Amino acid sequence: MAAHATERIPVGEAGAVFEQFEDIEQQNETYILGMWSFLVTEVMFFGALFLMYTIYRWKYQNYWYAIHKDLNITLGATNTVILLASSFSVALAVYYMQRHDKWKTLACLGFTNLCAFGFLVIKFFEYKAKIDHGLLPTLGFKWHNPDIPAGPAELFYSLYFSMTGLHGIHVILGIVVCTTLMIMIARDAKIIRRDYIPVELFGLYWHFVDLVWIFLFPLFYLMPK
Amino acid sequence: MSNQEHTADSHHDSHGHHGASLGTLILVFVTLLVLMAVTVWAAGIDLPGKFTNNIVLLLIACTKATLVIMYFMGAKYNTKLVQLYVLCGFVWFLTMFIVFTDYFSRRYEPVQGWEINAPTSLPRLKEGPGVEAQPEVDRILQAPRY
Repeated sequence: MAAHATERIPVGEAGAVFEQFEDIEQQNETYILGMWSFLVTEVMFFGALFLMYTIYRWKYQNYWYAIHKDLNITLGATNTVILLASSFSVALAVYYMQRHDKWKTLACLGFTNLCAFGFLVIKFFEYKAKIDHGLLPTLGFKWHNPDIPAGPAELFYSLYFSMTGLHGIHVILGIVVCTTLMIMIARDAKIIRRDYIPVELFGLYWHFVDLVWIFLFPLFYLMPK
Repeated sequence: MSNQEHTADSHHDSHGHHGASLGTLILVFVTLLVLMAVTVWAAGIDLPGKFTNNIVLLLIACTKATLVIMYFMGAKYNTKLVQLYVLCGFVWFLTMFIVFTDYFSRRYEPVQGWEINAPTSLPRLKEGPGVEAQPEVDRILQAPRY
């Protein structure tokens, strides 16, 4: 064991294996496992909202079907494509980081950041249109359609704003992490130089954000009768 | 493998490529875009049956999610332990929906104030000064229990 240990890269240098791990494979697996256990908590976090959505949609399906037509499918679909593209470019960033291709990694992460900004801009205009119509729940919700009671409508918009809003917060956090990562890669930061794991972990997070949207889009924008 | 090759660097260079190949990633991305178009199209048509549209939309969403998890997130290329964690998250998510046994069984065990179609979830008084008769509540409470 002692002979093995001397061959290791000292801790603090790039590509070092910390002493609690047998080898780099085990170390990487540990990081990825840790990230997944965080994502499992995120599944539960969003899961509660999805459950709430299911319960109220079951109860108010007919009203909600009529209400959901006010959402703009074109904008929602554009956002879905944007997020899928950003997910793809993160997967590419991990691919290039594993091959130590610094500039291609940076280009892919940059594209991801751009997509995330695009997503938020579109979301901003969607929110603005709804808020201008007085559809922000609690803070002065005004409902003018006499065919639909205000209660189910307010519930619909509560869930719409809280679910897409929570998702939007995740997108903003993703931008922060992605930008930090890009700066570190560009400056050849020690902990990231020959290690693809930070990019991989950010990728897992970003794919999860994409996953949530994959379900939010059909449930809110394409709600069937 | 000799001891000489056992350094972290050689691991990085020879075994560091865990994910999908470039071709696979592109194929998955194109499939995701096609599925996306199919979802929008399927939402526009009226399929026969009460829940068919819902089932189709969710099936497509689940297929997209599986593709993302397997190839983009690389669950397919990870160890069994990581795959178990992935599975746990989604099994837990589905487990939560057992709460519907409660919602669906309310009609067999009526509780005052929690009737089906109750306008509020707050318990309502049945007796007391100024309380109006609530024939709907009486009907549910007096219904035979199973």
